[in-house]
Amino acid sequence: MTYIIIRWWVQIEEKFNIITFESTHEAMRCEKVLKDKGFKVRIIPLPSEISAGCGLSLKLNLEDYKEIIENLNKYTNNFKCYEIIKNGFNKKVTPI
Amino acid sequence: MVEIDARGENCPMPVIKTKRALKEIEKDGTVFIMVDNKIATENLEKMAKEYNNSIAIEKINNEHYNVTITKGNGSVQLNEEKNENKKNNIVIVIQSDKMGEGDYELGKTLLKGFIYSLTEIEIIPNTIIFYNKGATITTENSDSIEDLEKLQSLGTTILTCGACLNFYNLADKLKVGTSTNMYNITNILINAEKIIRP
Repeated sequence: MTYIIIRWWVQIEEKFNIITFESTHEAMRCEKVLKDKGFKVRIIPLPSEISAGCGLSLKLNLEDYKEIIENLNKYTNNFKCYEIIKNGFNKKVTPI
Repeated sequence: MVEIDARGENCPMPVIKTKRALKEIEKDGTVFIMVDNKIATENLEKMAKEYNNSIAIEKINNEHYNVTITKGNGSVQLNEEKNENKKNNIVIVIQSDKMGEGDYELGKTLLKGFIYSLTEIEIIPNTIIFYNKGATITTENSDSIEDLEKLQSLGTTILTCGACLNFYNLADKLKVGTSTNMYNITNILINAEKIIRP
C-alpha cells in the first residue's frame, strides 16, 4: 500500500481566462496595475498547452474579462488572451 | 459494539486499544471506551477526527468518562503500518516568501506559481511546512491561501512555525492550516522520504 495520494478523483470543471505577455516584467507589472485597480487577478505559470510568450500568465475571472481588457489597453497592447476550460487534468485552450 | 474499559491505563494505551478495535469493525460500527481522565478523551477525539470518525464524550465524574466512537469512511492505520508508509512521505519546506535568490518581486511571483502548480500535478505532498518568512504565505494578505486550502482539502497537512508567526506578529492572522512547534517540524523532517525546498 502506498501513502502517496493520487488525485484521480478530481473532476470539477473550471472555466477562466488567461492573458499572456511577451516578458516576465510585463506580466508582473500588469498584475500590479490590475490589482491596484481592485481586480481579482493572479499570476499563474503559463499552461504548457500554450508555447507563446513568457512563462507567466495572468488568470482572471470570466465576468471581469471585458473590463480588464479595457483597462489593460491603456498600458500595453502586447498581450494575448485565451479561454481555458479545465476538467480534471485536461485543459482545453482557445485563443480569443 | 465493542466495549473497552481503559480506566487505570496510562497514555497512550486507551488510544492504541481503541485504534485496534476500530480497525476490526465495519463502517458505522461503534466502539465504547471508558477512561478516567480528560486528556485521554482529548487524545481519543484527536484520533477519531484524524480518521473521520464521529465521537461523543460523556462525563460521568472527574474520574470516569464514557466515549463512543462511530467509525466513518476513513480507514484506521496502526502505527506499525504507518512506519512502513513513511517511504513515500513527501514534505515541502517553504522557508522564505520568495523562490530562489535574486530579484525579490520575481522571487515572490515564482513562489506563488510554485504553490499554484502543486494544485495541478498528480501527486499531492503529504505535508507543507512554512517557517521564518515563509510564515507570511499562510497568513492574511497572502495570494496563495486559495491554493493551500485546495491542497488541504485533498489531504495535505499545512503547518506553520508558531514561533515565526509570533515573531512577525502574525499569530492571529493565520488563514490556512495550523501552527506547530520545532519538535513537530523536526520529527516530520526526520521521517520524510523526500524533502523539497523550492
